[in-house]
Amino acid sequence: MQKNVILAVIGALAVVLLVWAAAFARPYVLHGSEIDPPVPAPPIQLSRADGSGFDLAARQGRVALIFFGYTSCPDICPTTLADMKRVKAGLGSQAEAADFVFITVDPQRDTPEHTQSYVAGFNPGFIGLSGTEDQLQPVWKAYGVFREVQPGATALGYLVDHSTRSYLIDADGNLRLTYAYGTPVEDIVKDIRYLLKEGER
Amino acid sequence: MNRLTRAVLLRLAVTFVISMIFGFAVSEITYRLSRSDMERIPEVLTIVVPAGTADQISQGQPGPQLPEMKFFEGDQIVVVNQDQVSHQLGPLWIPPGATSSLTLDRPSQYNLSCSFQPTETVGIDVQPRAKTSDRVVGALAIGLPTWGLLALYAMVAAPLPGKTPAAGSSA
Repeated sequence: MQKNVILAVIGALAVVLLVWAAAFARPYVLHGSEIDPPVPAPPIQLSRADGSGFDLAARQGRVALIFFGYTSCPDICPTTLADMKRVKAGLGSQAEAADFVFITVDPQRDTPEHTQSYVAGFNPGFIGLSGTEDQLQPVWKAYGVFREVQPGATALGYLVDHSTRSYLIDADGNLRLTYAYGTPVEDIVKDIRYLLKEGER
Repeated sequence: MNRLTRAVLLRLAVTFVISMIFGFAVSEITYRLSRSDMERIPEVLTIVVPAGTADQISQGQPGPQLPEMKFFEGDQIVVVNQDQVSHQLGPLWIPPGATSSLTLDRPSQYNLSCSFQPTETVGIDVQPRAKTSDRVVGALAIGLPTWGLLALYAMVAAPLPGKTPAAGSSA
């Protein structure tokens, strides 16, 4: 009798857990705008502040989150870099397998040194890239970056209107996802974790 | 295990089953009375941007016809870009010759920029969806409190075996 009662209780709990698991078990859905099938990430070869070169293609095996902005930006760029900082923190030790890259849309004012110094203010591990307009133009074009200088827009100088999306490159060097400005940090963290796990397989 | 423990477990088990059946029944009846499009399976809307669209737009001509952009949570937008330049539909960015998709995983209303419409904006309305998990949560939300009350009632309404009467009640 007592055995039957215990079995009945265990059985009832098991049924509830199974129903619960069936209701919630779903394959992972990426949160950003997914490029499917993925396309090879357009090449990025630019100089770093320390004189070394940055070659995106040479960093396969790592995930890269890329944003295009400029250091004098009053709103979008510092907000996005602050979000990137939170993404990196959210990844914990897994952040060691990810690059966080900021590429200028304002090469007239943003030298490689100034760009690196700016992003390092958010996180010393961030990579700030610049170059000449001739070097940057093909990168902007390949990534569909809109930029338009607004001369004399503020007392501090001109502003640059620019697109605000971020790009996620997977460990195989493919352009996998883009994120609109304001995408929740938690969503990006989950996606990067998923891509890192996928890269291990 | 003594008789008292067995009796308590039996009552807990019986009341649990009754409560869960009751919770499931109430949840399902409520769900079926109020269900609408919210329960349909997720759909995929595919939009094709033909070659030459960017040139057409720059000349003031219309882009591809878009359906009503009303969705339910979990629906997916797929944009196939056959043009020679990248295009954008709100959060979707599509390189030339590529396909991008976005799963609308949250209820929201957007007014988004769109590179293949002459107005350059498009509104998207994402409504919440009734999910299976909501029904399970509903059943549990009704069933568990009912179980607590019913189990308490079952313990109090009929004396448990082997329990000695309270001292004051024998007088």
